[in-house]
Amino acid sequence: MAISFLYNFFILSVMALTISLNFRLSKFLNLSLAGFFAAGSYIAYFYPNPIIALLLGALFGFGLSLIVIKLCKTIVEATISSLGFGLLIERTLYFIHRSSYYYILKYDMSWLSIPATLVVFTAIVLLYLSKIGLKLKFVESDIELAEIYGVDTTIVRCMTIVLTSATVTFFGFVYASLLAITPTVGFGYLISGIIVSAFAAQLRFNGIHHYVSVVALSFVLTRIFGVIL
Amino acid sequence: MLKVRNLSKSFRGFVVLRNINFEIERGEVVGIYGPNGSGKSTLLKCIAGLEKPDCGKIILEDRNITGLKTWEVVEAGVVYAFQIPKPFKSLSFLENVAIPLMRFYGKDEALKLARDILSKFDLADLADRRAEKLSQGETKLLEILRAYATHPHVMLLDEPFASLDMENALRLKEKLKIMKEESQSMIITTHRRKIISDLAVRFYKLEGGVLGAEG
Amino acid sequence: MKRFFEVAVVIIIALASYFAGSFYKWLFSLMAIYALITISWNFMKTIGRLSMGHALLFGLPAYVSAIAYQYSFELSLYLYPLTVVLSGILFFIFSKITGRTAFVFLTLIASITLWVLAPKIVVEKDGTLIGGEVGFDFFNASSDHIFFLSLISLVVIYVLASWILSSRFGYFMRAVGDDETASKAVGINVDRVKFTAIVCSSIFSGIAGLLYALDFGHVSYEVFSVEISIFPFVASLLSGGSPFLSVISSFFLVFLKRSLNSIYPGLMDVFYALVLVFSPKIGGLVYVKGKKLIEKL
Repeated sequence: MAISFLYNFFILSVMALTISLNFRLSKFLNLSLAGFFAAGSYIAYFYPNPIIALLLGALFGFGLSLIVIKLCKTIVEATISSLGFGLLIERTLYFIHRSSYYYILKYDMSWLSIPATLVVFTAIVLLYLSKIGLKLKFVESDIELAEIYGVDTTIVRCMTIVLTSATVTFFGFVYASLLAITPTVGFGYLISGIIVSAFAAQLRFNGIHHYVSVVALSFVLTRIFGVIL
Repeated sequence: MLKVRNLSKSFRGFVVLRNINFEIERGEVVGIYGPNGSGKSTLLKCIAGLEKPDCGKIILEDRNITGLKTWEVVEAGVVYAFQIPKPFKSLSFLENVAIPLMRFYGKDEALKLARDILSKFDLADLADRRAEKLSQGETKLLEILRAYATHPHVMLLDEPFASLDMENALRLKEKLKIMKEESQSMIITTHRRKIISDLAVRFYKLEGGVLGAEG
Repeated sequence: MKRFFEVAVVIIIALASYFAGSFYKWLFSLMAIYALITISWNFMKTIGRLSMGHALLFGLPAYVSAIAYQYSFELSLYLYPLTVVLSGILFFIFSKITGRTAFVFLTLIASITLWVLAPKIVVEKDGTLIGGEVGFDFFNASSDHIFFLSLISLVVIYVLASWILSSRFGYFMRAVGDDETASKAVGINVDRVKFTAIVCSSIFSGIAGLLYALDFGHVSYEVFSVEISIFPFVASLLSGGSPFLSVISSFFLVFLKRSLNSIYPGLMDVFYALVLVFSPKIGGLVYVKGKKLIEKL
């Protein structure tokens, strides 16, 4: 089933938003999102329960956050560790994926992407407009200064990783019916998301304005290029 | 020898240097003092090619060096020493001082010359110590000697005494005096004129981007 | 003397592999090819640029050459060196437009992009579509030729790289790697140093890619795989940064890959993944323990 423009826009914007959130709040480029997306697709095939996708994604995110926070001191170290984590998940899926054929789902849950995307957009907007939003802006500007002024940056980083991981795994679950499921199915979306996020970063907006620009750029790039990488 | 004519520089509409004019002759040590934010570092960086001035000219021995790349300015004979030292951390003290010499000499010759320089300034015992293990005072000395190594026409020393305790400041001053006796031209910026009163022959006051009359 | 000893060790391993049988002869060729990637990666790291996209420098010249080979051998011959240089220029442009951190990401993204796009490249030859996921056939050299070519390439490039790094230019590379601004301030033409180092790195990697293509007689999108990009990082990490030990750890990793994958296909990738996950700790541990061991010896 060919993916329509709207579905492409949804997945690209959500991927780009999660990448931006991880970069600005958790301070690293989360390369394991590709593996989480693929894991979500596999869950759709073997255990078609969206709650399991969310919980497993959160668990992955928690594991990754422990590694990033406890072991890594710099952005490059955290990014490389996340790449390893994503590859670990991809390899595990590869071991499950014993045949050389793709998995194809017989049912369609892609309609869930519409409410899910709206929930993601709304959650980010509400979060940044609330009292927590100010703390998040502190962390975005200067994490050390935010720590000095009483923001629990460890919780912020951990929650960002957990929630974004759960979101991406869920979207992998939802999009499974539109894709040929393989362990590497998430990489194209990851790269596209990184490109959008990098372009949005050049505009140098802060807070909620940045995330609005991410969504806008996702729309424009989906329109121009039509298909995702 | 070095002439600065009508130099101006601004950052995002904020004017940092206004119409700066001054000169330095061969063998002279000139002091530029002023409060924080007066534009001292910016002035030296413009001369060194690390910043591009908005307008004006910098003439070295009848050659216009305005707007040249930093390495070209260094080749012309003007070398800048950073206020916060930037040693090459993976190299030793000796190798740091030898690096600028390697532009003109082979590796072994440059290391030999650098060793001679360290001996002249009684720093031979620091030769093999890695730059990342040096104290603040020693790192400052490294920065100055690295600028001095090729005997440039002019050395630009950006607040060389900043963050140094009295002992290290005096130690550094001794080295600068030796360089002065060798007729090494220097432009030294500082917060307080008193620190370099026995080094510099002429003083300028920089305040609000304007270079005041000689003091 | 030290370099002579290091080359002697490599030649002894090569000779042992040669006389151990055809499998080990072929395995040594592969070890040498991967060691060349590591040497190339270390060379670029010296100027302060950590590349996570070396698969691009490794695979692109061979891939383009293989596509051209479908039409003529001469075209393949012309395009190969051109692509080597263009790949180097691309990485130089990356180094100009990004800082050190962003360079890591950009090179990784570039190589993954190629890995994703390459299966979509299809060309028409005599009315037939070729390429895609299957890849392109290439000139296939004999195992003996590949063995000697890879051994000679490894020895020559290792000696050349070591000689450059211990020369005056090597000092400039290390200075640029430590601090580009300070390097400019002491008169180093930083752009020239970076360009030369990156193009040299591209040449070393490109030679490895060509040998790989000649060995297998085939090139597919797998030459851009993440495994090839992360291999030199893992090899360097396990060696504590020592150039000679990076070569030895490259040999070890190739040997380990064959061993682990024969137990279960894909097991080596799990090893890579675990090394990457714990790389912040492994690097420090290996460097400290390795340094103590070397001092004891």
